[in-house]
Amino acid sequence: MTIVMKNIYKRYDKQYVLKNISLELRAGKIVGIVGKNGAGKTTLMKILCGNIVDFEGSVNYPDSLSNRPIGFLIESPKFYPNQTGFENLKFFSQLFSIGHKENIDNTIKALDMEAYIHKKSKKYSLGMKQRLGIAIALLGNPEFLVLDEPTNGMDPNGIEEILAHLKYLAEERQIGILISSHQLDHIQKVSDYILVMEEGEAVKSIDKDDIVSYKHVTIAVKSTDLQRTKLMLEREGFEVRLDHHSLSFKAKNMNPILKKLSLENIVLQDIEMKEHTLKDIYFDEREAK
Amino acid sequence: MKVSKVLMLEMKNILKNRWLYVSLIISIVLALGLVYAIKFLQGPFTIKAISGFYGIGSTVALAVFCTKLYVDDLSSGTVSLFFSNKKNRRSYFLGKLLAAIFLGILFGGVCAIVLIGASYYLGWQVNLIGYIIKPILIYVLFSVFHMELFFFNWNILQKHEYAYCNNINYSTSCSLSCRAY
Repeated sequence: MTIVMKNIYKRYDKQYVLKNISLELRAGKIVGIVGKNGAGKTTLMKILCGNIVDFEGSVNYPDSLSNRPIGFLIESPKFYPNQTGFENLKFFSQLFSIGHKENIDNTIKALDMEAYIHKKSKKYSLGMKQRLGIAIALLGNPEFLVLDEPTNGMDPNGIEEILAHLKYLAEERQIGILISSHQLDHIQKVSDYILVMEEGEAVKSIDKDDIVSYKHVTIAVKSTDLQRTKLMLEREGFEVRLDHHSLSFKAKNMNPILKKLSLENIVLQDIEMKEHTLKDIYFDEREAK
Repeated sequence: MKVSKVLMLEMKNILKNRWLYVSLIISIVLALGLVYAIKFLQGPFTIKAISGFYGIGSTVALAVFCTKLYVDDLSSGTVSLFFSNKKNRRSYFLGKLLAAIFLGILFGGVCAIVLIGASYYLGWQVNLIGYIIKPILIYVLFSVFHMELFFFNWNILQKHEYAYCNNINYSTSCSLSCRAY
């Protein structure tokens, strides 16, 4: 099952906040969206959830038997503050006719909310409110989940639990998840596919394999060999940065490079390899723009 | 989301609200005050005045309860959870409208009981149809009017992105092929 968004444009007055965005949300896959404030992430999510219908383009939903095919948490968690967390969950499950007490109990357990679920939700901390918002989104076992910064305000343990739970939902329950966050490492951890947005446009789409396959390499050679090494690497197609007495570049596999260096009689004095991350790609892209 | 679910849950919330009973009691007490004045102080008042005194409390309460039907959802932001597709938006609106009618029937019904009770107590002729149908009809119209007044103010003046008008009118340039689920 897939939700397909094609050529989405959204305008407020004369300004376009979304320009020609296309996105596919498949069952069992997690799509991450990153971008600075005002990039259009939330607007895109609202269109997908049906909160905004005044847009150009198309959104195709699959035929679904579920009462509530899309669960969502957008901007901030929505619930009735004068009711307890449990009362909120019960209300929404009755309203959307997805109510079994077991369903609610399982959701509470999965999100580790037992300790405070019967307290008035206006007394919750930000992290607790986020969990309640996610719990409401999860009611009724939706086929798709749309979560806007779900780990906002959570403690580190809570973040790990939520991210692990999202991975479980995608892998085991085949739920398609669209998630946005300013925490690039969170997005990298869970997403199968990442969309980088800037000023309403999709500037880059990244598969998770593209991130993990590269490494940042920094090598130090003798000063007499520096220029020669730089030229050799550039001939091999690498983008090399010269930094005092070391050379930095991205590479998938060091073995052919090391072979080449030994053939050219270039002695490595030092080598440092770091994991290539989504952060690197994101800031490289922003620099390029 | 079904209209019946919205209505049932709304009715449950209304009946659980203690301020409903407080406002009904105040309205009844005001009306009974006038009945006392008529019976024991020879007050020159008619049945219209009794319904008017009842109305002092009930109209204010009814206006508040009718706007509360939307205000709770707007202030908490839960309105976005309901406005996820055309069917839900329709169910939400109709459910709230029926809940406003329920409130009108409730307040109008209590008014009818007060008027009939007062007439029997004061030994006046009882116009059953006029004392039952008229107050209920008037209170239902009043409640629907106040609910719609708030609703259209929110839609037209606020230009809120969740406003019903924005959500039921598609842009003419929209080449939509989305299917409501």
